[in-house]
Amino acid sequence: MVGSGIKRGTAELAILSVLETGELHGYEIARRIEQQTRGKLRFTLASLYPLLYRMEKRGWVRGTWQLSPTKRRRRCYRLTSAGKKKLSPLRAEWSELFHALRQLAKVADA
Amino acid sequence: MPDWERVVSHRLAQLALDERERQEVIAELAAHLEETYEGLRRDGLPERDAVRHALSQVADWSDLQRKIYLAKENTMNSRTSRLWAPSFVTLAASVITLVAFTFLGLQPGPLGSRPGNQMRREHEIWWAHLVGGITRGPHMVNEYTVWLMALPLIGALGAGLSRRAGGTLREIFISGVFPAMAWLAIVLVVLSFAASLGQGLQAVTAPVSPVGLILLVVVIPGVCLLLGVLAYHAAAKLGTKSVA
Repeated sequence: MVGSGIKRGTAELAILSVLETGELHGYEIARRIEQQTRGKLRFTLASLYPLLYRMEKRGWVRGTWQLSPTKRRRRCYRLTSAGKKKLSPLRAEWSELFHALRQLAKVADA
Repeated sequence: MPDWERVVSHRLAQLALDERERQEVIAELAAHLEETYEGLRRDGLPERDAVRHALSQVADWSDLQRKIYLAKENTMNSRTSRLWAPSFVTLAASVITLVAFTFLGLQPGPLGSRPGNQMRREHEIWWAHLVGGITRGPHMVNEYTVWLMALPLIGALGAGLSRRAGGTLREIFISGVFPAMAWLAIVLVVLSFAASLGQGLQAVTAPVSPVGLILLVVVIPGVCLLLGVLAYHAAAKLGTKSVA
């Protein structure tokens, strides 16, 4: 299991990544992240929504109310153009960090 | 199945957003809880366990409320509404009540008695007049002691305003006891100024010592304010703990 500090740092990247595929509501965002990371990253209601609202305030995502096929109102989030622009450098930063950590691990193992 | 909107609304009762935005947050979180609950039921969990499991996603609703407020509000404005506005309201309320009690003419004297003018002349220094109830002996009541009794309410008011604005625990406590902090600063400035002029501190602080002055003007009122903050905080915690 990944530590909570790293999780916090990767949370924005995770949300932006799952939204890249299309609009999702909060519960679905959490479920997709959990599935795609095989349970390594898990969002609870308490951790997800403050982050989503912050990202919305920054203009990275936009939430709109929609009716689901079962006639339920759900707030769906989609990436804005600012969010799409943010995703690429964010991925590069994390990729660089993980690469550096892998290098460190190799040195330690050697 | 629980009424999830009612559950969330009850737990986020202090969320200080405008009503439309607050209702949207409640509806969104309720929808999330409902889907979690239904997923757990589909997995075969009994209703009771599914409800408990869904609610376990939030360990501290007050903390979530604060985080949502911070995420939704402008940072600078929220700090003002969480800390500075409640603090200055508390300070203003404490000064206004003190002045009001003074003008109401609650004169120092034994409990239930009406002192004469002679007693009044002994209190030419305004603050000495205020603290006379304590410095003149036990069983005395005057505007100072009545004011002390009002301070817990004022402390609770400051704490309430801060909490309603989504204040952290630290901000809530500071807002409640802010008047005592302000008076401490004023007393220290006055004492330093008197000392720098070469005047005896006793001349400024008579009939009590500088330490006594700090005790009467800062510590005792501060404790009274703090009692109000603690009482409010305990009541608010109890309120958020009850499950709808």
